Amino acid sequence: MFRWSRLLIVAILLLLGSCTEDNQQKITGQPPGPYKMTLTAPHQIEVGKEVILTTEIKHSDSGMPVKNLRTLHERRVHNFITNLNFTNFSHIHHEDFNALKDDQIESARLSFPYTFPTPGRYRMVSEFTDSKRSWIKHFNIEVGDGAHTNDRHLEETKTSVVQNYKGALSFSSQAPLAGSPIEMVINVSRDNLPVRDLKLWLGSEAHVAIWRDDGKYFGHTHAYTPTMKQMMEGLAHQEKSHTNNSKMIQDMMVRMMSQPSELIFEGPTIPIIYVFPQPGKYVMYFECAPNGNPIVFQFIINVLPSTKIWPTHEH
Amino acid sequence: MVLAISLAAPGYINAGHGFFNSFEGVPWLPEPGLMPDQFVYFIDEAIEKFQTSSHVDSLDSKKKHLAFAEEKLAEGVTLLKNNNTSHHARIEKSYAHYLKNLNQSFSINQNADETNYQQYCADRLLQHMYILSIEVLDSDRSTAKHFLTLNEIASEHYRGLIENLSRDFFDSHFFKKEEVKWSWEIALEAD
Repeated sequence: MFRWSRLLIVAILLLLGSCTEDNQQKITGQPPGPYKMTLTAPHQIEVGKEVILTTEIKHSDSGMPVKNLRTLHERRVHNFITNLNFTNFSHIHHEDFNALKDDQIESARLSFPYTFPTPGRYRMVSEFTDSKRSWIKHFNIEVGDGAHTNDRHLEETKTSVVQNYKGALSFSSQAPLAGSPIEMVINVSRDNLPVRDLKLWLGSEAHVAIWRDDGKYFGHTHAYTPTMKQMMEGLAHQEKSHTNNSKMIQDMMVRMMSQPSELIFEGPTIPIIYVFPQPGKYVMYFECAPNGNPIVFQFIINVLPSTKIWPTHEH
Repeated sequence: MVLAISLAAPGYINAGHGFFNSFEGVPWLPEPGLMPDQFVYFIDEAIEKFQTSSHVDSLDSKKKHLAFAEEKLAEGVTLLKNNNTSHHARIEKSYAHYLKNLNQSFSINQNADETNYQQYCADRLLQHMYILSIEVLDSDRSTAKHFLTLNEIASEHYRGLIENLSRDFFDSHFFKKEEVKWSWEIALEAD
């Protein structure tokens, strides 16, 4: 009798243990490459219920954790989460909630709580820096209990209102063309008055996350500083003279990035520059921090094909 | 270049973290299917040859050529990642064969759909080069020369494809080409 009850307890414990395991799914980030990044999340993610999302980064060949990821803009891994209807967005990090411990730095295993606000298909993009470059991995996440269609029709939007703030987007040329750099300016106002108290937020005046409306072509950029402008002029010269010397540009970038973070744009305008890789509608989340309080504006941008004759569709 | 113009991280270059990022979310290579070191591979090859034996005139046929080229590339990358270089010549020959036929199938007097597809193929070959520059990092250093050969094949046919496309389209590839070049430079510097 004693043996049976002991077996029963062991069986229950095993069952509970496997339930915990079974309740979690491990999603492998795409694309593949020299780093394997996984996201651990509950199998069933309920709307409005906080879950813990855990990312882990290993070397693909050895399976060993990537130790000592570089800190870039004050964080080791930057995570950007949006639903594919583009009605919500988060730029979120482990360190927003807990200080990093030595074992987490050693294991490249970081976690953060997140509450998905609506059902549907989500995309999380995670960015980390190791060796000489940053890497981006994306994950597809289903939230809610059934099939959801992400059928929001996106209209071009150049103004965005958040609380008592308004962001107005303007372009340096008539419209962005795929493959061409375009300078954009965001004018920020509060209660219809120009904002002049922008602060650095995670090492920059602005964090910009961009997706095409099909969830592809993610990009993450920042304010267009005078140093960047100088570099772009160098690039323009390079393009004109057809002397493509990427090594030279690398050196320029290293010099630029060696400079400490510095507040350059206090408002009301923040310039950014971006090269949209393909035509289509893009969603741009623009995060800045008037008086140190982060807010996110959303803009929808229509990017035209480079050639006026035929657009390039994906086959 | 690239792309990556970011403002921190002393001494580090950050692809993807900057004003330009051309390749996030692009389709990676397909599953390789049967591999050259499998006995029945010759049947697979024969079927592919039969399916592409007619002229490459139709759009469907062009798509088939690109699909088979990608399958060859996937086979090559899989073998190289397993440190298997014994079939590289065969793979390179097949990859070049499909791309050459595809390249030659486009003409100046073609219709809009075909020009559209030619643009897509040019984009896709740049993506092949980028993918190779990433996959080489996940492979033994000794295989790098074979990755470079595959890259050269893609590059040669890319040049052929883009030659007759519009100047606007050609110019729009400037940053993408720089990103590929930079990605290769940094891959070969790794270790």
